[in-house]
Amino acid sequence: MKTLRQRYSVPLTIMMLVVAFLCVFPIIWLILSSFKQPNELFSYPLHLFSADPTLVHYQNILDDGFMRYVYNSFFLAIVGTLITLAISSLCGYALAIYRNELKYVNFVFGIFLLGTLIPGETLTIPQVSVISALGLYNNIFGVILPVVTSTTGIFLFRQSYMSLPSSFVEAARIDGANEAKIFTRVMMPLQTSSFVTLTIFSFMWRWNDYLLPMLVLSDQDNFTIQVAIRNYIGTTRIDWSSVISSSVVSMIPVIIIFVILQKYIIGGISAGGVKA
Amino acid sequence: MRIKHSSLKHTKAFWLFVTPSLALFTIFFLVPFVLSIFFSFTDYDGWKTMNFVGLNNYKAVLKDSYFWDAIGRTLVYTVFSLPFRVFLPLIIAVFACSRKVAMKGFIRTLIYIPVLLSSLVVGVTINWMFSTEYGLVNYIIQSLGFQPLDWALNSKLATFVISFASNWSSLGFNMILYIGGIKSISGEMYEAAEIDGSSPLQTFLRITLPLLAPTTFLVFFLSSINLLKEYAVVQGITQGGPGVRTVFIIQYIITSGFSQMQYGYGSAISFIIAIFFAIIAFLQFKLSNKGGENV
Amino acid sequence: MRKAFSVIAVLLVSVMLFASGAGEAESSDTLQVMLTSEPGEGDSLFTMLQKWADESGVQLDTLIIPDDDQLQRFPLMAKNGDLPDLIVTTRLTRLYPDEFEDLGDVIDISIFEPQALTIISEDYNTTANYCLPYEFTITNVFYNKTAFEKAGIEPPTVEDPWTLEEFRENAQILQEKGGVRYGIAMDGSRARYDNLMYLYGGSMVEKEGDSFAVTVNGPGSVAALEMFVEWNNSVMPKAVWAGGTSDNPSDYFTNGLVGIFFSGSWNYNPYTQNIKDFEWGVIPSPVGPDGSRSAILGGTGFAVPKEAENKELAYDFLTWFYEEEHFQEFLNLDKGLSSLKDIIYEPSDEKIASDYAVMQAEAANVQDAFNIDESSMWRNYYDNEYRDALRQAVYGDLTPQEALDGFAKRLADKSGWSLKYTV
Repeated sequence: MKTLRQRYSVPLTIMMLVVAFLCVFPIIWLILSSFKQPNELFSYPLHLFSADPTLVHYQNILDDGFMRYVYNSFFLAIVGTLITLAISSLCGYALAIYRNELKYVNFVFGIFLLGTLIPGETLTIPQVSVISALGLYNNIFGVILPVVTSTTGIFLFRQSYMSLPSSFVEAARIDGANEAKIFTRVMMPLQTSSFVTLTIFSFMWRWNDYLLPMLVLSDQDNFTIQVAIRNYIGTTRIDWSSVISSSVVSMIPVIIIFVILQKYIIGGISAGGVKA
Repeated sequence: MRIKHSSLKHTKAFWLFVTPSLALFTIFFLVPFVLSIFFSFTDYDGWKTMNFVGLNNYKAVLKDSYFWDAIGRTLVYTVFSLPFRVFLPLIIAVFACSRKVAMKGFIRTLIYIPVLLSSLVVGVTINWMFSTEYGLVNYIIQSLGFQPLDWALNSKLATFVISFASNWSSLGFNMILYIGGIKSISGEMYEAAEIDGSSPLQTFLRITLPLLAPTTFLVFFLSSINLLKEYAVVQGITQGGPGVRTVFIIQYIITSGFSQMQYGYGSAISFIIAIFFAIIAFLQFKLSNKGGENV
Repeated sequence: MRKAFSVIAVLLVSVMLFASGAGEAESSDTLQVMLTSEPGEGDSLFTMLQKWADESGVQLDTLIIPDDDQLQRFPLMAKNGDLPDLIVTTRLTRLYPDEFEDLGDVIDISIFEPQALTIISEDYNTTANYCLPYEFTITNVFYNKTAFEKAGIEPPTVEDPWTLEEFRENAQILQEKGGVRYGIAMDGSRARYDNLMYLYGGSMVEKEGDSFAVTVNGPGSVAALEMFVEWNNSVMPKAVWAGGTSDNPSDYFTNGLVGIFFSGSWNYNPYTQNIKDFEWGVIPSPVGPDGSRSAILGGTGFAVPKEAENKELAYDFLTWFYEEEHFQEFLNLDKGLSSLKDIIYEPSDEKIASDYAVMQAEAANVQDAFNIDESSMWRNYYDNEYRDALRQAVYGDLTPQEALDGFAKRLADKSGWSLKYTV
């Protein structure tokens, strides 16, 4: 048998590096622009680097109290993600483990799948009615609780628990462990990679949420980064200076979290993966 | 055979595990969905007026030529964007898994980064690149001695920019799905192919492509629904222009219904669209038995 | 894994404690003000608000909600009993008059310029005054003086204004010799186009007994749109009005790309601060085919919601703001038209004074047709659809006649008004 050659092809590698670079280039361009003087933003010829770099655009948004919005976005993303992890892992587990035992399991699963078919944007107004009725208007939990149920998360956990041999559960049952214990002691610890994957996704979704926060939060102190960006974009006059700097600030946390945790998902979402 | 006692216990455990998700899903998704169906039979203005108007909203929608135009545009957009959405990440995933490519982790990370941006920021970034007057792309085109392109004034170019933005911000995610699929194909198959002297293209066509069919279906399914639902990117880039050439269906619902306090009308279109999406999803599953088994 | 969870749990609890500590109770000496955009440095209204707050020891709490988002968010805020004390708005009182206090009881309304009061309050169906004007604006035309000189064009004067044809011809010359990319640009607000419509004798509606008749597809309106489409195809940045870009044409002007910019008096003050690379000024608006003129008034006002918590504070501020000394101070910062009868802005700078005179002269050009259109409040029925019809005509998907016929029919169907010109 021929040994597998580990020789890299230089042209192929360069080609892929170019593709990868093109993918991040628009972002790099935005970041470089954010350090330009206000009049450089709109003057030809365009230059990659500013002749006279400035932090004035960042100073502007800081003066508008941007750190408060950053804090709120973190709160929303962290709390939302923790709740999503907790309830999706429970739900996905139950849908996987009991699927052959109880008749209505797949019916319950079908109800969750319905969620992917209806465009969320069209439901926001009745959603806000429900949020108000529950007294969650202008409350950060009013924008967290409605979105923490994630069909993707449930799906992810269901698939990965399905891939574990059912003998694990049977053996634990024979040992006399109750169902809750089987979940927390036996099954859950085997799912690190699903937890990490969903952490990345969920953090990103919550960090980037904007329609519901815009409608539900009515106090400047409760605004999130995305609502602030939306306000800078405004409706008739776009404030490019603040839009660019606030957009750049908004990217940093998700990119950092992704780079730290990426080894868990960048290898590909296998074992059933994210399916809905 | 299980004894009845333990089965009951499992029923209880099942519901305990499922309840948090199911309760939140019911309160914040199913109830609003039912409410929205109810609104669709009224002239609700979001606040003060709510009279029952029977099927009037539905009649008005079906008679509205702007609605049908928006549906038509949405379908055309979806059909033209779908091949890029499905095959581009596949090709990139194959190379990003190739033994011949170095720095794979780095390359994958970079390709994935645009996925992390919010739709607002995607709009901002792409606008900044493609703006007719101040955009970098036109500047480069001009520097090379060509006429700048009127991105905003040619409906095909405007649609292209939207499609580009949408594909750009989803490429990494679909690539990751494919990489997962490719990794689950046994390495022995590739070794066998190599020993047989199969060319890389033959290997791709005979092994990778057929064995990836379930993943391809998944990407196809998710992408078509997401393309039909395209809204935030359009809003960020063209706001439906030039004319109304890039007003897709969700945008139509929002501008003609919700942003003008016509919730009854908007809800009626939403409900029609939800049914329409469900039919498309159902057909896709019917056409692909493999996908059907997966779900 | 367990360890990670406990760390996360501790973090979560501390974050939540911090968050609840930061939550503030609305105290009785905080005035919550809703603005439409983040007040930049030197924002005239915000400066006055701060000054008042400092003098009276009141806390200010601002809430920024862009104009278009107000429509969705105001009802939600009202339903949840969560309204600010003072709202800066252009149209909420028109849409929801029942929600606001009659400010005629607080401020003596005879101090206001009657036109400002009518246009900004839009209280056409009532004798109450739900909205008090503060920023009073008028459409006007800016020009790039440097480009004019380069092209050898003498700008028009108040005594000798240009006709539409002259605007069109000189725009062409500016593009060829003036070093600008676009002879003319108009900002995306519909009022800029509406001026052309009035110049051609067109209108949205006409009075018909107690009601109205839709006239938007009449010969005047169609002729205006035809001319507008031609301008867009030859001397204007077409993408702005065809609607495919989010570029702001005002940026085009301040960056020297445009020779003549149709906009409004609210831009004057920012331009004095931002335009450094070329000379600029104000010229009179065009003369229509039959010698007619047109200008559109607009502006922004204050409203106080009935359900607001600290209404008294809002009243205190309003009383203070409209005192002669304070309003004069505001006006000097704002450099705009005055919404009060007896207080005017008198620029000391000679250039500003002459520009100001040109802008003020526009006020005589407001047409009755505009006032009637406003009083019909047609925008309560359809608004986005009219903009879309204009976009389609400019883009070329519909002829001007088709676009306006289509909109006229929709407006008539929805409002129940008759169609003056059959479709």
